[in-house]
Amino acid sequence: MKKILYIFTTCILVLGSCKKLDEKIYSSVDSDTFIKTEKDAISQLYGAYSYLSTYNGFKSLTTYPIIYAGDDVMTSGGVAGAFPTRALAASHAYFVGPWTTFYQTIENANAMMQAVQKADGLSTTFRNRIMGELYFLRGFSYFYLVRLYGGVPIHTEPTTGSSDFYPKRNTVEEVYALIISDLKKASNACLPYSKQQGSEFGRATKGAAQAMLSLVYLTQGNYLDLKPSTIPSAASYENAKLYADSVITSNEYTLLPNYASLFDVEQEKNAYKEVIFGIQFARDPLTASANARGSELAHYLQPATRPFICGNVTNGVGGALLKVQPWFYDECTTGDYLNDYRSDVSFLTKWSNSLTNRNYITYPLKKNVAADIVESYPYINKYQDPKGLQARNNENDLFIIRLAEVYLIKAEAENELNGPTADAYSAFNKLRERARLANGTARTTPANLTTGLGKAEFRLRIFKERGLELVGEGHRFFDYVRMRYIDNVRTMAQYRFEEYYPGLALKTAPVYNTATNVWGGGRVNPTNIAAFSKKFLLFPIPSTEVDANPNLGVQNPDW
Amino acid sequence: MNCNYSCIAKLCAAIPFLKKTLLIMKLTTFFLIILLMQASANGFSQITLNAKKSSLEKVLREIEKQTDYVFLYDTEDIAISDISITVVNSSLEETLKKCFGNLPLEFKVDKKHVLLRRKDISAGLLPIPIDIQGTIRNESGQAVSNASIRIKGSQTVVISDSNGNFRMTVPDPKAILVITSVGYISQEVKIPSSGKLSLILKEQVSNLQEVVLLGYGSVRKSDLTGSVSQIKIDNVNERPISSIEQLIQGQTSGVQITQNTGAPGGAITFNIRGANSISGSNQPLIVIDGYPIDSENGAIKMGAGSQSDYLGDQPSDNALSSLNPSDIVSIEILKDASATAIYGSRGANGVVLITTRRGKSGRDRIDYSFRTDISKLPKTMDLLNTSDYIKYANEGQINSGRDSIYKYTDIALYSKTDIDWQDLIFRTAMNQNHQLSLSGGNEKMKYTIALGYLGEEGIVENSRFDRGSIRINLEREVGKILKFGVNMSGTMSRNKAAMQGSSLSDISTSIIHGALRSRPLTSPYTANDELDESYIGNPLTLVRLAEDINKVNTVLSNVYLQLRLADGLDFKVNGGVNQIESTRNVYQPRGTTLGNLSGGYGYRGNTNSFNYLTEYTLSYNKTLLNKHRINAVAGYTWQEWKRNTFALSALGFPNDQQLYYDFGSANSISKPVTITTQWALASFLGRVNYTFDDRYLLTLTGRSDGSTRLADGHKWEFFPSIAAGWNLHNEKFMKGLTVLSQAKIRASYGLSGNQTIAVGATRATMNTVNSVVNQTLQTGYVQANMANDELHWERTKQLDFGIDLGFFKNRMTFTADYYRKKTVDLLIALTIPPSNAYTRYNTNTGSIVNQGFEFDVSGKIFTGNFKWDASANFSLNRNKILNLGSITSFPAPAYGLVGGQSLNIARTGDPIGAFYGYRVIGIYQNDAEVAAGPVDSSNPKPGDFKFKDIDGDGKITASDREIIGNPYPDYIIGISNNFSWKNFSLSTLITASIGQDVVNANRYYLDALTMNTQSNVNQVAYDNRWRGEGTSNKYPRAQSTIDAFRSRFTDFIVEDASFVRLKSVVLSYNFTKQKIPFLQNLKVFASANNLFVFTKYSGFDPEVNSRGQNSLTPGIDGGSIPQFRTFSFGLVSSF
Repeated sequence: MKKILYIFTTCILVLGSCKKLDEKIYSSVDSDTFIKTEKDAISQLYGAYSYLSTYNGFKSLTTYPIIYAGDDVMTSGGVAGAFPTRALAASHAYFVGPWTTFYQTIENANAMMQAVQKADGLSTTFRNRIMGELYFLRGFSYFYLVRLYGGVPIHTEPTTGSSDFYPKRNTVEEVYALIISDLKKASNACLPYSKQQGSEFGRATKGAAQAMLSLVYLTQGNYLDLKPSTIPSAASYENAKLYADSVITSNEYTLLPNYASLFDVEQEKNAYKEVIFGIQFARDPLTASANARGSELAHYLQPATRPFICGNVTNGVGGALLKVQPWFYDECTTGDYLNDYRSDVSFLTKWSNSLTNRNYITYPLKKNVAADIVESYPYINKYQDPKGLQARNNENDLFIIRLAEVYLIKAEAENELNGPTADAYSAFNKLRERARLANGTARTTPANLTTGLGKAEFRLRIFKERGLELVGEGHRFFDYVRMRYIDNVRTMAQYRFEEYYPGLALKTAPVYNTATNVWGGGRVNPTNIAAFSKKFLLFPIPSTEVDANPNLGVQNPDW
Repeated sequence: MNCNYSCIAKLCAAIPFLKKTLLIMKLTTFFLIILLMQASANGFSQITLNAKKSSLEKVLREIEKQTDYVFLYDTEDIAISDISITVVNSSLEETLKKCFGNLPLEFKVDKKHVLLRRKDISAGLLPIPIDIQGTIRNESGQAVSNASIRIKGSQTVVISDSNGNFRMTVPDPKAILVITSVGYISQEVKIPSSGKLSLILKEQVSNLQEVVLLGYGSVRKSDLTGSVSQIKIDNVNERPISSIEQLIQGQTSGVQITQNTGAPGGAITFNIRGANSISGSNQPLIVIDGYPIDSENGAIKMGAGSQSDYLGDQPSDNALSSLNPSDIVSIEILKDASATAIYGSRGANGVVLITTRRGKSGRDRIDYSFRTDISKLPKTMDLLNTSDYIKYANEGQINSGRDSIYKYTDIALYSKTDIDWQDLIFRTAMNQNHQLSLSGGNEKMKYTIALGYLGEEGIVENSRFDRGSIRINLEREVGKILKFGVNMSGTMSRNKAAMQGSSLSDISTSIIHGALRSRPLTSPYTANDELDESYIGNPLTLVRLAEDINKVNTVLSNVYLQLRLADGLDFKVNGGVNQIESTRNVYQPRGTTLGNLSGGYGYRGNTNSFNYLTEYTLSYNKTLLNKHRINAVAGYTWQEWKRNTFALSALGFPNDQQLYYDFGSANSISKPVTITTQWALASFLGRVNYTFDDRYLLTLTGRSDGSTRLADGHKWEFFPSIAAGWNLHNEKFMKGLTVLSQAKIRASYGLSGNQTIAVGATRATMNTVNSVVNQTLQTGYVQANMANDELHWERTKQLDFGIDLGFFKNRMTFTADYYRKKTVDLLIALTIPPSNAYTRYNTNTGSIVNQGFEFDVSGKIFTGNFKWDASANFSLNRNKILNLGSITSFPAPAYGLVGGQSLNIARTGDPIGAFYGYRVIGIYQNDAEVAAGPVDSSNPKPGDFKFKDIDGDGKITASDREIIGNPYPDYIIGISNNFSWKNFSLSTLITASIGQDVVNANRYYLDALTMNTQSNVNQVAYDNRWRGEGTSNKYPRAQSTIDAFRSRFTDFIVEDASFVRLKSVVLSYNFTKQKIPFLQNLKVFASANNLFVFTKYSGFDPEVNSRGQNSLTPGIDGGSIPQFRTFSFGLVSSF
């Protein structure tokens, strides 16, 4: 018996227990010990940037709601159609997507800040620079969050099993304080654009941090004015001007002489002479559709009857998801903007389908021949990529901030501080000057803005100038909830829905009368109009956050 | 001399029965002496005896004293102790005749010796022997092989052959034959003068001596202290059963089995005693012939790196569908902690022990069965036809202040098309099932070889499931001490699936959604009668063009060797391997939505899962000092897994001819996905089962498990249990109660675990992603999960009280159990706010309780010519979350239904995954009602749904949600009846599940005109729509601008899904009198499955679980292929 037990025990010892209970995961790396060289740190940094170009991010779910939320475009059908009137639940992916993207960027920045500081084998200079870019990513993310959702929970440490998962909303003021502190750190630590190596192109620069800071301060000033707050807004505007000037005088960036070349996908790198920060996309041969790192703009913004305009495998036609409101088109092509080169570049009102040999026109064009096909709404024409790989896998970048906007920030901050001074006019007219250069054949329009405007009137001109200059680039929503109307009390948004739309003569789409060859009807897509509600000013906190976080606090007004 | 010699020879022939060699020597010596002496007895002695209940030996001694005769005998023959005899001055002859009377002894007086011997072996006195030919059958007419036929009072035994035939020579025509066979009541018969005997053996009703498997050993049923259900499998081939769960469904209490969808090979939710775990698996551990298999392997449809919207959202397959149910002879379900603790960290959800067929000694035998099935959809949804749809859509447009969508002039044109989409996608499906087996063996070696093929068509066009399997079981005994064997099975299955995603966001992910939501006026065909490929989500393109094939090859093989070390003490080594290879190939050509987007989309994913097991056990099984029975086992096991995944997708194919076979021709190939993980489990286990005097029972069980998956310091955990039982019927005071043949009370308490922690869950890890820098793709690293070094097993403490009763010699039995299971340190993938950047956090927090009652009753109501056996079971389980740690609730994972909301919630005080949403309390009838109602940001108008302001704050907000349904039944019932009359038999199975709710998610789109008139509508919603004040308080007005439900999940689509189902009816006829020489048995049958369902549920079928892959999202019906009704015919034969 003893012998048997002895054999039995030996068997166990020999055959079993000598194995250790160690777990092996071959396909992941441990976060704590990953960074061993500078190269490792760079790949982790790329990871932190990567969320911005994901499907949840600016590839799709973050860009589209921001564009749809503006009043300049029209959408119809399905979710896109419901967006302008905000007839969507807080659970919708368009509210969850941006939230997730920015918080994932923040988490990866936080985690890497800790890892970089712990890692050996990194030089101090290198470490500081990486830290600068991580601060930029965090500040940048919170800036989008605060503008889209208002006060949001602040996380400045990586999440671990012992974190407090259920923080309450921080105040808007607290969020701004963090954004400003982060972006200032970034502006101190990031390299200037001109000092970046070629391979670093696209990563955050000193200029990017400063340009964002100028917009942050401007937005903060507007916020304080609108609230109204006991804190004076002047300091914010001063800083907005300061950082805008800093970018302008750095001479790192210049306005491209030809506005159209900004959007030429074949010379995208050249655009970054003007573009200070952009979300880069690349035709992604290894992943398709939602997971690809290619962009979708060229597909969704182009007509479904225009072949070879994007990577769509079905003849390269667009998706026609997004069109331009006719009244906005009118605003951008009449008055000051009559014969403005920027409108020629930005809008599409006629095209031909080489496959069917049919010509298409939209408002306000008229048929040349009876066979032309008429559509009511013009399209945005900024994004084209015939070499794209699939519908949702094109090269076009999304520009976040470019020098043209910085001039307008400067003009606006100056106007808010001192009214329309010569400085303000001068900054403003930079854009008109460039527009007149057109494609090399100079035009006389748009004329410089003539002096003598009141402060509120000048602000309105800036709003309109931004509307045309930056159309389709994801700014309109932020502009019209940020800026005040002439009455200095209401936002532009509130004015639009309370006054502008109700005042329109016909609240219908333009209708083409084939017999008389004349456009009749109204100038607006009626389904995009609703009574004003505070839900137009902020997105709702996504239900995934509200449902899971009992401490969060109140939902945004009217949601 | 001659005679004497032969007598002695015959005596000697009987000698081998004597165990003591010494005695043989002694006797042989005696006989030699006898031969030499040739002595003869004389008969004149006078004997006087007066013995009462004396031993025969004493009596003989007395005779020896009074006479000078010496008796010669075999001591065994005279071991008779109750001789009563009174003689006065009798002769030897007379005395001995009187003395031996009816005893089976005869004597021969030879000189001074009296030779005593057993009657039957004394040739000299034999009557004329008779040759007997006989056949033994059981009550159902099948031959009983291996029955032993013994001549009463003799050692002569013959064994019936595999035809039940035997042949023997009986020395005395007056002898009685005793026929015994395991499992039958032994019978005594007189020998008929014809010498032809035809016997029917009755099956033994008593199951007291039956053995129950317990894992790593077995115990007598009478010694069992735990709650274990035993299911004997008989008519598996007569019903359309493709998976073992279907075999168990309705057969025993405490087991809830829900077929998630009606797709062939589809997953089945299998819960024993309720759901214990919020985030872990609730599937029991499956052990096949001692080999624990991974229930997740093979179930997971490869989706890594795919177009997740289209491929990833498809429900998983059933892992157990790669086991051929025809191979199974019995199933033991271990339910309480006393039974499951031996499986430690894998036992908390119960354990299912499966025993496959073994050969029997006797004639080689061939069994063949065949079945063919015809399946149909029992019910279609009543949706609008074109003319109603046009009316409804136009009404909606007008109500929304727009022009009619279908102009008067168009209506005639549109009305030409009226498509019944359900008709187009569903079909009558045909199945085939062939099972062939060879088995046999002798006392030393037994074998079974079984081959099976199942070809099952789905009721959705172009879907089917095929399975081929082989099993070889061998067992060999070498001498008295060594036994070894092999169990080997190989299966190949191929599942060609129809798309049935449950996300509603895109109809191209589910054919069912597509068919229900496609408008009747939209034709699937173009004007040229070709498939309309421009219609996004055209379900017919998915049915006809898309291919999604999941192939699973499984090899499960183990070898064991058992060594008898001493009486009752065995050492066993068991080792085996389990290899599962699953490959998913998908191709969506142009014409499908995905194919159009990508220019043909191909996907190939492969998962190779390998695990091996080594197991050493020492078992001791002995009765000591008559009354102490010990059944003990101790052992060590090591099981290790390794899994490799590789997946690729490709798009932009030059044409659609080569499907996924030529990725080289694709324009772009995705980044490959490669995943490799490895983990292991080491365990020490032991169990002692002690029985005193068949009355008092005690079981102690323990298992210590160590796992690689856990963080250091938490790797090992001990799972003990204790149980006691009392066999009341063996007590003296119960002896008088003849009605009650069995009465046992049991109690057990113990611990078991749940190990479903993801590999790598304890560490912070990073994965690679693509990033764009410098206008080119770069590889970046992102955080994949956060660190959690406190993670450990989820533990379930279970208390069980049970009673087993048997009446009328166990003709009727009754079992009842009460249990209370408390699961603590719940493994929760806590849904945390996404502001933490992670949406899930794996933690051990909180507790859940499941408690309930189980009753099983069975009886043989009629025996004899007309037989009726019936059994019924009733179970009741209540599931409640007691505690969730620092929070009180968290939502279940959301998916693309109702705008991405969670439908289920985990909340303390409520069942896991209870439905959580708004309440609809009617329809606003007029403006005044709207004005008086709560403020709703969605601006309701008369005719719109009126939502309940639950929190009473005057506004409809997210806090106006509450529990609006419970996905678990109040009770479940199974009733089986078996009738037989002559050669006919009829069996029925009724299952019922009462009180559960189901979210009829299809209605979210079908009960109102939503999605800008892009979706068809239920007839009932159209007929009862609101058309002005007072017209309806249930269905809203037609309108086309906004979602009638305002993106809210409401009780409106939560339905009571109680049902009673006539699950199966099998009618068979047995040709027992078959004269074909080689045919042993032939049975033909016809059966119907899912014949009727009695339910108020308005969807296809109340038994559905579209999101069954996740414990937190039970009870959802959306996009799934419905259950079907099947009629089957076939035969069962043996040769």
